[in-house]
Amino acid sequence: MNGPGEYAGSGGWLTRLAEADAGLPDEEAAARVVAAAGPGTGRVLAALVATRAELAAVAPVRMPTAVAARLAAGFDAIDRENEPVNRQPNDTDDLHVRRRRRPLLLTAAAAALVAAAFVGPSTGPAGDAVDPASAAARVLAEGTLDVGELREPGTLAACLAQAGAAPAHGPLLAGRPVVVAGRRGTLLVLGTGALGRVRSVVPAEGCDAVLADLTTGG
Amino acid sequence: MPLLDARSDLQLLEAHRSGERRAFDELVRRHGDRLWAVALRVLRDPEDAADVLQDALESAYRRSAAFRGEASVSTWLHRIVVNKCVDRIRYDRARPPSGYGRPHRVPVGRDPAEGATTRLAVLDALANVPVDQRVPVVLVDVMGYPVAEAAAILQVPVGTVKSRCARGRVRLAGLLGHLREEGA
Repeated sequence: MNGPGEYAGSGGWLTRLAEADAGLPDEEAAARVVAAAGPGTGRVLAALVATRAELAAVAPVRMPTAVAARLAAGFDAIDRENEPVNRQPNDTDDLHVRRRRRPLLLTAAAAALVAAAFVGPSTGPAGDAVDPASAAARVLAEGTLDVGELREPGTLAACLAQAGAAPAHGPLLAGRPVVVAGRRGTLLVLGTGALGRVRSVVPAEGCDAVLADLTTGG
Repeated sequence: MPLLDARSDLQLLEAHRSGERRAFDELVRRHGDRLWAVALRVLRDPEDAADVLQDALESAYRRSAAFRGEASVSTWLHRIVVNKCVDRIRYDRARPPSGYGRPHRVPVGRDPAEGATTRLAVLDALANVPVDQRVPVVLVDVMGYPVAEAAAILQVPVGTVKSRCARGRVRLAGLLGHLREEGA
């Protein structure tokens, strides 16, 4: 029997001991291996226990809002690919479902993003009615990035600074023109550098004010 | 707020095959967090995990007819995600280094100043375990799945999962500083 000096070998004493610890080849034989392993056995087994404990203590995670939004957009795109074959073009029920953009996958954090931020009626750029409570979730799901010159990071930074908003700490994920409380602005959905957290900020047209600024999720 | 869907996973998958748009969403709502966790813990990088999860679930969405019922829907979804993770790791390993991004590999080895094994955070250490050991360790030790479930996901015998976990734990024990060579 070798000793602990055969550290981390590919098939030696330590590996056999670890396999016995895992119940190989069977519980009875594993017990014999452990009993016969000699000096250092206790230290190795303690190390394996500590390792497993560290692995088990890894914090659980939840799927970030942005990932769920990407999935929703992807499923919608697949559905659209299939529509000419499977669906009638004037199927109004289907159109209604499609507009809802898979609310199950868009978490409460995303859905609440703008609900808390927009206090007045919002309309789209062409004047069509927009549900403000789902605006941020929708642009994320659709991957909409209709923000004009604000796509350019330098212009975006300058606009936020001029408007008196905090600088962006993550990438621009989505956005579109909106009207908040009667003022035109641009909804910008920004990453925050923290997984699952997104920031929704609306600089006014001309970047002279901030109409909404909220960080949620994660 | 939508009501909870009482249908089984299998019923939801069948409904998806029949064209019910929201059935697959419910499956993702049920299993998405765990699928995300597996991808994230295996790949380490959130962007890679997001890419792989999307690829895997879109594949499942498109090809749900490939599900034959030999395993549970959850096992099937996990298998697709795990296989995509392994494909991604092998693809990345085969690519020449670009010099930017992808900080998967953390230099590991002896600290020349102290002669001791460098202690790493557990997630960094995991990224330095060979993928055939890392995946079962993530499933069994991080996610807490029974060995038999991990074996079903990986489509290998239970003994293979145990052996790969054992070898992965030995490597991790060294990387995490729980094991040191005699005299070090």
